[in-house]
Amino acid sequence: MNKMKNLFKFLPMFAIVAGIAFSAFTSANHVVQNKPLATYFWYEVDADGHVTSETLNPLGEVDKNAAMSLAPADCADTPAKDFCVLGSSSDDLQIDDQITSPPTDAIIRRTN
Amino acid sequence: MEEQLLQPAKKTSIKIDQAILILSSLLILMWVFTIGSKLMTFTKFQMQLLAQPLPLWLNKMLVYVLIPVELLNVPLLYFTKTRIYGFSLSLLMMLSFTVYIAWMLVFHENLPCACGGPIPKWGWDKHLLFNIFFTLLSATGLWLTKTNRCEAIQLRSRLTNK
Repeated sequence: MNKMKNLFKFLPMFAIVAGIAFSAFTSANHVVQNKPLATYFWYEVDADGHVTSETLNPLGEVDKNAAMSLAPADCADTPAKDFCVLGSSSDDLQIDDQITSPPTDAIIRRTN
Repeated sequence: MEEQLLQPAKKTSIKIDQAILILSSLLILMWVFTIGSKLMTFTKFQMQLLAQPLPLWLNKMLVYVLIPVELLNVPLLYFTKTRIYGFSLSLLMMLSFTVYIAWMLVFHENLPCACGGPIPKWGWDKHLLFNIFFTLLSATGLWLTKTNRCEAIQLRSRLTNK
């Protein structure tokens, strides 16, 4: 009975250790997956290649996978379509700026 | 004789103590796991939070305020003396998240979830159930802690009066 009581005392400590272990385990795949991708500031772009928004990630550069979670619903990187989100190394592109031939790792394409 | 009469009350109090310990440990596990996975993928968390349909200044503030406040729950729930505040803060936060998710489910189901671990993959409806479960857990913990405190005070006064 006393042993049980002692075990109960360690329960919160065990919860902390388990929480750290679980979070490290579940996040590991995500980190490995994102590593090789280039990082940019991302902007919404219309069908004519004009910037239509301020940067979607004002707090810092992010890779393409992270940018896709910010992109509008019709942008999911379908090949052979107009691009709708653009990655740029500049955090200061202006609305209506014209974009020409960005590299493929710096664009997310339209689904429809 | 007095001790014998007080034995059942003491046993009940020990059982409530253990239940409180289990509930606080489950909440600690949830908070540590959530904080850990947010920190491990901080950029993604940042992006998803900035995409939420709230004013940008609020989203920017939440990026840096949310994790420390969540972290505050852990020591509060860990120590016996502060556990009541831990349960209260957990209940308050879980309630706010639950209301926010219910609102998201109605108006913005396609937006990404700025949550930790595997939760973003679950979808908003499962996330709502998860949050309701931990809201109830916090409420139960708070209620048990308050009940236990009252009983302890009564027990002490009975012992001093006799």
